[in-house]
Amino acid sequence: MNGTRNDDGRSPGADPQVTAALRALYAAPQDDAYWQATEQRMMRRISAAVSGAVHELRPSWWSGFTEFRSTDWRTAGLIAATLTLIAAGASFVRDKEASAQARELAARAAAESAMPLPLDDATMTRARVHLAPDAPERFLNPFDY
Amino acid sequence: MGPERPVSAEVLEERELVLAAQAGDHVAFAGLVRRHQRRAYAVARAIVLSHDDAEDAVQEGFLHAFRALERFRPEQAFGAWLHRIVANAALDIARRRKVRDADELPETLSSPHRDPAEAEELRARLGRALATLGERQRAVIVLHDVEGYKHAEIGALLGIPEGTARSDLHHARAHLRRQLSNLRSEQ
Repeated sequence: MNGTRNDDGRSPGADPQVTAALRALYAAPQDDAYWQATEQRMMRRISAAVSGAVHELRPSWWSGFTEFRSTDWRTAGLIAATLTLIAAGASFVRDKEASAQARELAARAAAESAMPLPLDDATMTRARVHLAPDAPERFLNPFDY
Repeated sequence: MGPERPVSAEVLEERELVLAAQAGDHVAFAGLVRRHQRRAYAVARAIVLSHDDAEDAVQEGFLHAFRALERFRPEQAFGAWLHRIVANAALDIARRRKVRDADELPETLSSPHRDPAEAEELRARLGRALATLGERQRAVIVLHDVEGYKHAEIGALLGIPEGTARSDLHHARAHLRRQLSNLRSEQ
């Protein structure tokens, strides 16, 4: 298996002794039993990976998320954040409008309650009080009187 | 367009295995593992510092290849595609184990040198010298001088230009020569 296809280490700069030592150091195991065992271990691993893949394919409510890659997650996160911002903005505007409407209603109610009530007949027919000539002065400076 | 080259029986057989494996035939994929695991090991072993890491890289590489099999076009060379995947797995492991004591280098097959003591000394020194090489230069010299890959193939495996592979080989050889020069002068 170590068949050499290049210059066999004889190109300028190659040291045959070092090359030989390298070959000894890096020689692959030559026992067939070793390679059979390696092949079996490999195939067991592949079978385990395949059965794992089948298990992963079983539908579950979260299985869709496992198919997301990191970029997908990032995109999904950005979309979710944008939607949340839009929803929060809409809610804020709606609250503000409702608040302004409530204030307007309250102001209107207050204005209506401050208007003079209709007077009864007795009040309307009662004789008017005639004030003294100095009345305004007295009202303004009551301690002088 | 040039004349079509005849396709060997081996290539046709491999293509059938690939197609069957792509259709979900695990036995066919086992056939591909059997065909390529030794070469895949050699590629991985050139990049990582230990036998255990090379084994892990081969396992990872085959698993990645199996998962990506449906994306492989059967008219391509399966070996080249697989070895690139294994090389990437090995590079990943090597990056994770950046620093490793050269003394932990595993025992391998007996050295071809005449004097066992001398061979042992050379191997131990070589192990230490290799550990001081950058991972890319080490991979290049092993892939070239041990596994017989050409510069262009090494470039494709490691994802570097051919000229870089050539220059890495030159520097790696010079480095090893310097590191081992004391041993030579003692002999």
